[in-house]
Amino acid sequence: MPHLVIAKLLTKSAARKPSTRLYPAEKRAPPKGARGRLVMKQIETCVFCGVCGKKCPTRAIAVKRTDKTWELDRLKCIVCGECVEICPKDCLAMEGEHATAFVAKKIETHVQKPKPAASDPT
Amino acid sequence: MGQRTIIPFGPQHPVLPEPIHLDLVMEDEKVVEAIPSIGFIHRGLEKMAEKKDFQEMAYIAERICGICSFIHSMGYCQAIEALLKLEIPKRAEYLRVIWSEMSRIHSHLLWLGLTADAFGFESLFMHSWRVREKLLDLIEETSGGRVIFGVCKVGGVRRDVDAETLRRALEALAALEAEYREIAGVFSRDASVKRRMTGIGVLPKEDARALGAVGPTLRGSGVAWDARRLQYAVYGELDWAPITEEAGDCQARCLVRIREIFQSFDLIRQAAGKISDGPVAVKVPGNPRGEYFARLEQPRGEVVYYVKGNGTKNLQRFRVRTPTFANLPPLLKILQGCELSDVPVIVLTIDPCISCAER
Repeated sequence: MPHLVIAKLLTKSAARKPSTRLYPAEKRAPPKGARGRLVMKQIETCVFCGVCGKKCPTRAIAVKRTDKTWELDRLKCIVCGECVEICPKDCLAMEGEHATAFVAKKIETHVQKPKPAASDPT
Repeated sequence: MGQRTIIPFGPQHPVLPEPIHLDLVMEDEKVVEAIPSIGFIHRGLEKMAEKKDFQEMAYIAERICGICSFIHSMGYCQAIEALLKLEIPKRAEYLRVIWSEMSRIHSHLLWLGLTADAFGFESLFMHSWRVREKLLDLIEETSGGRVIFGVCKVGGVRRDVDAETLRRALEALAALEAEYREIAGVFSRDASVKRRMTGIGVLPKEDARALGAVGPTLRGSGVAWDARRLQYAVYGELDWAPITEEAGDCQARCLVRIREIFQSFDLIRQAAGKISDGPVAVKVPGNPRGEYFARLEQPRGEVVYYVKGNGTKNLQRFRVRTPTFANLPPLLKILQGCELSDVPVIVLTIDPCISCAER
């Protein structure tokens, strides 16, 4: 029976650069199209229709039209991207970089600033 | 007859990735009987079908297992699609096959690593996982997720893979196959690996059939049954045959998995060559009504999905018979008469996935 069949593999491996990275000092660029984390790209264009919240399978998104707020519970979000696909105003985006670890539960709140009053034409 | 002692094995044990408990009844160094207890990680996922929308359930079905995730969601979606009499686009079927074969390769590579670790060959474990890591990158590039793909939905798939990405993935897979070939050679030829696996934990063909073994455990005992022969998705259009080994020992089960990885590489190439342009999903009409059993081949064996709908958006009943559950009786049989030191390797050769088995 052949012994040390792995020797060839080990020699190659020793001559090569390490296969691992010094994470977190050295980070890998996420591939295009990776689902890392959900971000609110532009709250200014949001019309607070609430479709993202209804479509969310884990109910991680809460949209309050009266307060003009959009809230995300990141610990509930499963990064499926349903909300990004459905958003009629294209306000939501999926970033390739994943969210970092948490030390405390927190709801991310985005508030739309009141639009400046239209200037008086007269 | 020597004095009998009971040695508890698990639920926390260095070789066990997940918790299962076995009471090993010993006579000196020989195992006389193994008494299992399961139920450490029951999560009640099947019950959630009664509360969740049937389309959202695809995400939960995928989370039954962290390794064979894609095929779980595919099985669930196939069962619902059959109830709705929904014909899904050909392109979606091909993409499902490509992703499920990627999932099979990554599961088998994970298993190879864990087994190498179980018999103390740590560098082989590292190399298996090094190759697996590159495959996970490919999965992420094509589906968006690394382990939880999140692309299967009722009515098709959620994401299309463009021709350029597919071409790059095929190139990367070819390079990966060459790297994997070196690792496969170690598993199939090295003397130290053979010594730990050859002639250990033999499951004869008749016992494999009688005890209801599935997947590589069944095929390692020489029974040529693979649920992909039911020709679900587009497996009927691809050229392949179930892989079998006759010996029925740990080495045979390992060889089945090693050869299945090569077969999966081939199936991905075939599917990518035959894939046609077109839509990847169709609209879902109404709610499911009636009962259906869907059977698929997971990396660990045949999985059975039972769904019962009553015309509302929530299912009335959702039940999964997972391959590990079916492979537990054969495991108890092969543990009888083995040495205590062989127990970890034997337990691993059925590829136990306890979160699947308990859901």
